[in-house]
Amino acid sequence: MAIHIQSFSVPHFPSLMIAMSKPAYLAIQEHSSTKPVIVFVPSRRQCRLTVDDLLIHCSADDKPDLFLNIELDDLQPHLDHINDKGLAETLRLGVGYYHEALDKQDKRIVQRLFESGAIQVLVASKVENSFL
Amino acid sequence: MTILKDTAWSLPIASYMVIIMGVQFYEGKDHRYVDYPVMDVLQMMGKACRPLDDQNSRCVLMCQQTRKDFYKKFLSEGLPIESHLPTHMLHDYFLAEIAVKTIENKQDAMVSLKCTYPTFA
Repeated sequence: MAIHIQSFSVPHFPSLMIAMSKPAYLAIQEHSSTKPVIVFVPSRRQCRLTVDDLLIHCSADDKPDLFLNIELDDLQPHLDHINDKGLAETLRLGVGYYHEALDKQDKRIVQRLFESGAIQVLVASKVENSFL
Repeated sequence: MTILKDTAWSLPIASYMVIIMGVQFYEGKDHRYVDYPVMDVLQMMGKACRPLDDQNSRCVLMCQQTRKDFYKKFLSEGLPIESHLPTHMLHDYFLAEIAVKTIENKQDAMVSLKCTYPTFA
C-alpha cells in the first residue's frame, strides 16, 4: 500500500477543507484516474460541500461528468428511486456521498452504483451526529 | 441524546484509493476540534483494499503541518501499546486468574504481571 501524506498550514477549519479539495481532485487524477476512490471528510455537512467542490474542479476542467462511467439513460432508473434530491443531482455527475442520515434505500443504491463502477468517487463522512 | 456513529466502521464498501481529508473533527460536547483516534485512521486506510481486483492500493492522508511528523512516525513505526488494566483492580484480576488456575504459584504471578505491563521490570 502506498501512503502519501500531504500537509497543510491553514488553521481555520472551513478554509482548510476548501484548501484540501483541489489537492484531493488532483490526487484522484494522478493516482487513480480510472479506479474507484473513497474520500473521508469529518462531518455529514462537509460531505455535500466537498462533493460540490470536487464537481466545481471537474467543471473547471471542462469535464463536468468526469467521474461518471455510465450512460445517463441507464442511470436514470436508479435516480428515480432516490429520496434525497441533492444526492440524485450529484450522482448524475458521477460523485456520490454516503453518511448515516441517508435512508436505507439511498445507501443501498449509492453502494451498488459505486461497487459496479458507475460512479467513481464516493465522499463519506467519518463521524455522524444523530439525534435520538 | 447525541450518539456518535462512525461511518468508517459501518461502510460496507472497499475501494482502490482512499483520501482522508482532514484528521480533525468537531467535538460538540467539548466545543473544540479533536484529532481522529488513530484506530479510525487505520480503519479508513483499510477501506483501500480490494484483494481480487487490484495488486496494490493507495491512500492520501491530508493533515495539518504540525501533525505530519506524528503520522509519518505512526505509520512507519507504530505506537507502543501500554496496558490499561487499572492497578487498583489488580487483586480482582489475580484472584480470577487463580480461580481458573492460570496462576498457580509465585512464578506464574510474576510472568503474568510482566506480560501485562511491558514496562514492569
